Amino acid sequence: MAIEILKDLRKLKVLVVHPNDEQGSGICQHIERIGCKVCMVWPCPKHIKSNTDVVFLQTLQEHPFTEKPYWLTEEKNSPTIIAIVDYENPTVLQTVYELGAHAIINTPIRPFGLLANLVIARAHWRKELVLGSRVQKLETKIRKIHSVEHAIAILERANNISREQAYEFIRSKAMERRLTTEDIAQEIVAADKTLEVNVK
Amino acid sequence: MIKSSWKVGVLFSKTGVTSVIEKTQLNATLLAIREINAQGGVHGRRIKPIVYDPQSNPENFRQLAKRLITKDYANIIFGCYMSSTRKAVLPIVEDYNALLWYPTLYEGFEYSKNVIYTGAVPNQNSMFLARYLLNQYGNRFYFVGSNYIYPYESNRIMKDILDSTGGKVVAEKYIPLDTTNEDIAPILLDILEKRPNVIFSTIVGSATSKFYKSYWSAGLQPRQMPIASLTTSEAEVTAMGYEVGAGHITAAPYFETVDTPTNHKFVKNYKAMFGASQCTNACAEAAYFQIHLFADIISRVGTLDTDIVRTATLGTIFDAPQGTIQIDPDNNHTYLWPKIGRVNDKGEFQIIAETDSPVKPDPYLVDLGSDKSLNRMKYFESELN
Repeated sequence: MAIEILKDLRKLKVLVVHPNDEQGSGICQHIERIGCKVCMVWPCPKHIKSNTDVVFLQTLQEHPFTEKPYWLTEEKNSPTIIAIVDYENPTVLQTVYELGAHAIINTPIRPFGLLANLVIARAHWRKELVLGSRVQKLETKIRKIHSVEHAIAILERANNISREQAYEFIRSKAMERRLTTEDIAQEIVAADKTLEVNVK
Repeated sequence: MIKSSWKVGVLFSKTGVTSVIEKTQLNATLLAIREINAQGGVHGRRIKPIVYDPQSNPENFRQLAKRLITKDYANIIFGCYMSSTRKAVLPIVEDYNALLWYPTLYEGFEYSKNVIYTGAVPNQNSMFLARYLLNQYGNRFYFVGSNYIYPYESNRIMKDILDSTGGKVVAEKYIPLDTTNEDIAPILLDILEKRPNVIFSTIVGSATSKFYKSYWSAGLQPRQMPIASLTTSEAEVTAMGYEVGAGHITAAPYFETVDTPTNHKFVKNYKAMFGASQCTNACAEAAYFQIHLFADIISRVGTLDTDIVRTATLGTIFDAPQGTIQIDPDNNHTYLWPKIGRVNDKGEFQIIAETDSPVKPDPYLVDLGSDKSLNRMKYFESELN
């Protein structure tokens, strides 16, 4: 909900990566007016405080990033990125694209639109976070399903039993030892590998 | 040698749906200008207002603002009531780097360096009104408003405060700006059925009278179920009649009954100029003090240059009828004195609660229900009944 994001805005720590000029202080003043905590830095720092929630980042077409700072590439704990652009040419847009910016504001800065971009950027950032963790869960789930399937195949072959019997064996072992079917399956797969080595 | 005058633009509607209140803003503006000119003007030059009637219509506001700046060379404009009209003027004053002085309460979430906002934002009225109504009348609120942006946002704010303080919205209804009694009748029936503790009205303009009159005709009792508002001022109460308005509640930074020397003078001069039956109100007061404040600024800087006037205005402390106010340099809005008034049987707003000092404007405050400044309101009566 937009209102939840709005309510959270007052807790946000915002970093403005921008030269200390009229433009930069204009951005900072309006972010303060909205109620966020803000500080400004230039040039783009190698390190930022780990509790930084949002970074407004001036993208200069003369100096595209040769080496991106780590905090822009991390999958976890990366801040919301709002790019500040002064040109709309392909070079600048490529830079913005590579940054993975969640929103763009353009210069000269007008206060009107900054709040809207901040809210939509936070919404995108949140969605990314939720989707990222969902993907991670699904990947783990798929790995587990795969290992159970593999274990069933091993049991079928080794003991000449049916698929149902093999699965039932895994399930009962899991119950007995209070583990998940995936854990048992992984043990079977591992044991099978060990035996293969011994035979050779 | 005849010195030239200080030319300024004035945009308040003499006709249209919100003309009742806007005419009081126009009156107060012209009164302040007359007072200054009677004292010899500023640096020996009179203030000369160029007044147009935008007829409560946003498009007219936009065109007339442009005309003031480009044809009349008046880059300082006093005016606007409805948010829709301010939004129409905003891009014009920004494009031409002019300065709009806006003497009306509104819903917040705006800042332009080309506007000085002298009316209240929600942390200076809605917030205090909600707390008072919850304590005094109960937690079931019925929302009725005019169908445009200010009521929607005011209601959203009020609902948000109620959500976080244990209140409930039992209904939310909107009527057209040019409403007829046919729109109001079914709402009153619904109110009778739902029996809320408070009716929160964001109806503006001529519809206000119609709604309060319908309530009165239905024989409803303000003591049990008042209509509470941010926009029903002395002007609307005069229009609807004292007996109709009695007992209802409004939150505003100013009422005609404020007891300060500056206000006594304002009220006396206002009645002398426009008639003893004419009342001042919060929007008129802001329109009045912003002219005096502006005159004070040009007496200091000696120019109408937008950037110079703006810079000088920010941070200025000024003795207004409501008390000492200050233009907040952080956001161009104004430190004001929140108050709650209840209409007595003479049609005056009796002040029943106020803060002990001016409250800083916070146009971007979202979480109004738990704001610390709520505790600064002092109540002059503990129980109503």
